[in-house]
Amino acid sequence: MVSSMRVPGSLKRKLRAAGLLIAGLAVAARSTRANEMVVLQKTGANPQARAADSWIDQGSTGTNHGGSTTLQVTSSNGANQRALVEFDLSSISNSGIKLATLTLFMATAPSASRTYGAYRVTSRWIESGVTWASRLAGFAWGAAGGDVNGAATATTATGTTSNVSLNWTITADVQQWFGSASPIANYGTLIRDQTENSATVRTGIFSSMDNATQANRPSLTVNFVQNVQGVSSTAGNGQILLKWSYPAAIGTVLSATNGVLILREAGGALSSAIVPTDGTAYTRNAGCTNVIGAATIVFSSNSLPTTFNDSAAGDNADCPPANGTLYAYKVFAKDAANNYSASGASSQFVPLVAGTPNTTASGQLSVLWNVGTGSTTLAAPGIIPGTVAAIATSSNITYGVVPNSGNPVFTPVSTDAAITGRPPILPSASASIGANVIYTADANGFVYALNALTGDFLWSTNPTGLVANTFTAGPGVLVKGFASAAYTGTHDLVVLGTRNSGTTTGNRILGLDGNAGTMTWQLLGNSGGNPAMDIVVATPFVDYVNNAIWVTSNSAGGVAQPSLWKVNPNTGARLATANLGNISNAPYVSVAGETLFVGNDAGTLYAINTSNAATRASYAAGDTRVAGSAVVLNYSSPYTVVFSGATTVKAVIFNSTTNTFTTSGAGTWSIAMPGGCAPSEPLGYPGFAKIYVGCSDGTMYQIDIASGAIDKSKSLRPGSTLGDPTLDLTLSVLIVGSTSSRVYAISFPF
Amino acid sequence: MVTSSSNPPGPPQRECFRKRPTLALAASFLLTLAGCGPTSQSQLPSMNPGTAAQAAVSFCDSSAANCTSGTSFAITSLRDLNVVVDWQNLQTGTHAQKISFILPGGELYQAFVKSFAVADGANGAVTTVEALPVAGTWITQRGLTGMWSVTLELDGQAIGTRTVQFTP
Repeated sequence: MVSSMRVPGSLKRKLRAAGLLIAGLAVAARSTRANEMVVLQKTGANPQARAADSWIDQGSTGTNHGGSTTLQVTSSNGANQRALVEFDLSSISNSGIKLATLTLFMATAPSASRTYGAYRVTSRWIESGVTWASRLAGFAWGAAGGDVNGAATATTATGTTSNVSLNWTITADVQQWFGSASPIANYGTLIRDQTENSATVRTGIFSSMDNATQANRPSLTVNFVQNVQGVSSTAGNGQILLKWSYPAAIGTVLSATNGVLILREAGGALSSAIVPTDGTAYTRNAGCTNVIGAATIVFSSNSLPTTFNDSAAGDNADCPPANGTLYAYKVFAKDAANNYSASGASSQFVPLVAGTPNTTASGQLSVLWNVGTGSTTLAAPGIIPGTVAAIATSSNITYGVVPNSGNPVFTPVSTDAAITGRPPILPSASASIGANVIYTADANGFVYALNALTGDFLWSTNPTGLVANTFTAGPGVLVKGFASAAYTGTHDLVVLGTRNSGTTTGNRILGLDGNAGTMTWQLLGNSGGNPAMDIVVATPFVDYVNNAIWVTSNSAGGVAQPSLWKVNPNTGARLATANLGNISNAPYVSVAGETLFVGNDAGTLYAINTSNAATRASYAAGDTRVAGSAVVLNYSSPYTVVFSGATTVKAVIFNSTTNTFTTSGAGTWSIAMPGGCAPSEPLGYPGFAKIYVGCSDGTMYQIDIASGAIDKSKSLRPGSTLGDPTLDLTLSVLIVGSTSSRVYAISFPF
Repeated sequence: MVTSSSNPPGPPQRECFRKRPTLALAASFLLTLAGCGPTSQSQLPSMNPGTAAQAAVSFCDSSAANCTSGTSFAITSLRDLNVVVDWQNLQTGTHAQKISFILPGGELYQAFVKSFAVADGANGAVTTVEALPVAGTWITQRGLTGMWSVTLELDGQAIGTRTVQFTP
């Protein structure tokens, strides 16, 4: 807990009038160590699009004060009041946070001095809906009055003087939002009296973000050291070449960036807990015995280099990298006082690249970038080629990065709950909403449309009003611009299925308007003549040829109820179903549109007639399960179909004229993954000669389609499980997540 | 616009308030792993030996009748893994519980944060249930079996760790 300070409001206003921000000056006066400083405050020039504030009232538990020009904090027996404030941190993305000070202007002081605590909020709330009882309309707090971390991050005494600013040092919270080893979603700060339920009403009144006097609105002053950007590694024979650049200043420069420190660790891990200590100068020494934790200090500079050639002939005669060994590097920017771009005790967001030198190109590995996600991330990122990759995580945080550099496109977005499915992205030219848009859905049943370039919410909704109706898979999106005239909807259609594990019969498929998030239709299991519907855990497939949506589901473990659903996108009407046993994979419809391929959880691959959902043929692959969607590599029958099992990847041929699978002979193969590792969903497209599979040994495998042989592999993180990969064909980058709480990017083809 | 008349005129009144201890820092935590096979306990440092918060943790299949506790579960038949935490002797007020599910290799799979309130008169007793989705998730899709660790924190303080077995 940190005690903070008060600043007289009269002085604050005078300095503001002089063009100086008191919060910033106060911070600068007591800390010249950080590199840059910004003051986040809602103004005409800085609308703080993702910011919010309100106050909540125990005496009127259902009343929302989101539009108030004040924030009230009261101690009163049974009628306490608390303030909530959250800032838009977009302008300081990709930084190590050194100091963060929350400032509220207290227009009216309580009649006796109180101690007010600042608490990190642990649940998402919405300004227009938050009350004492609910965090947003219809969704109660876990604890009435606000879900917070149990202890105050900082406290401050109010005094009894009005028109002063109160400050709370919430550095630890902002650091957790910005790159702790286990990042925490930014849900803002709650201010409350540390001794509530006073017999005498004690109220402090603050200016809110809606207050007419901009200078008095809440502000967050942040001191930070920006990371270097665009870090890349290129492996060679006995060398790894690192390159990077320096970002332009985004705030008031307190101490200019004057150098870098590079750490290296063999094995590719380089834990985010390994960080340099601020104020300490580090150097590489002969023999490279200078270390930080398990990492070796391989380079330091008090100038602004943009390359480091890690080789005996280059910049590291002391301990050059050994051929055949995977190394991870972190490049820390620093200022003149040796403050580094880590956030507290973590360097989760510090650029980390890796490489393996070798004598041959095939043995070399160059990891373009990787980013920390704070939790296992196995879903393929969504992508607008050449522009942005969207990485949704189980940490309630969605990241947007440049596909070939890993640089942030937007500051991470905090969602209501975990997101475990791939977030589809549409470029503005295709999306009916008219913006580059990410559609994603979370484990509390919320669906979001995010601006893919800013991270701003275009809309969010919980279409069923229940957190039990969770979403495990990403949405399918029917793009109006791609659809035939048979689709009569006005806008793009976002389709999802619920994973309500409390029912094996009453799950539902939802169609939402892509522009507004309003529900267009729903198909509810065991209702309205529909058969029972178990959990839906895979992304719906949009079948443009047949103007249909295909959705898979579990089936209560048997075949007594459907697990494949064909739905009319105009109405949500059930067009056909099939009982194929539990299915956890997305279906795939051939380009010609006559056959759908889907594998079930028992390891059987089905070819389905898309006109009526009848089975054309099936193939029991004998490998426990089908893992992920099948890949169909031809535009017309006969089709080569590649799919993963528990430990194998197989290619079979299906002829839709004869309705037969060919599972042996020319064009077919089955390969056992090395070491019995569990493969991801295969990645490939018609016309490709190779397919790509991530495996549970931390390696990406390239498989030749003609022969079924693994012809190349890249070990990204030994011991970790790699997820479903995605490709940016514009930038020739392959991106894949992992159980190591990191997402990796490598050049493609490799 | 909302204003407040926070300071009514009149003579000073006697302050009457409920004392709010500093939660985790003022408590000691005793993790009791009840109904989950061999019981283990971990005692954390206490700043207030007179207050011993306890947590009893058990695991069960969410779809099983009575949610019978166990220590090993087959992922092919497990719908959600429920983690039931019976807290006792907590201080009155709002708490934040964090449960982290750690893969057999030591990597974080997912963490859940849940806030709850301990009311006056509850004797510091609260039961929480957190569900880890299993059926149809990456756990079944990628066969993430083996001995998992489940760590429990309260208000940022580590309480203890328990293991649970996922079998194919």
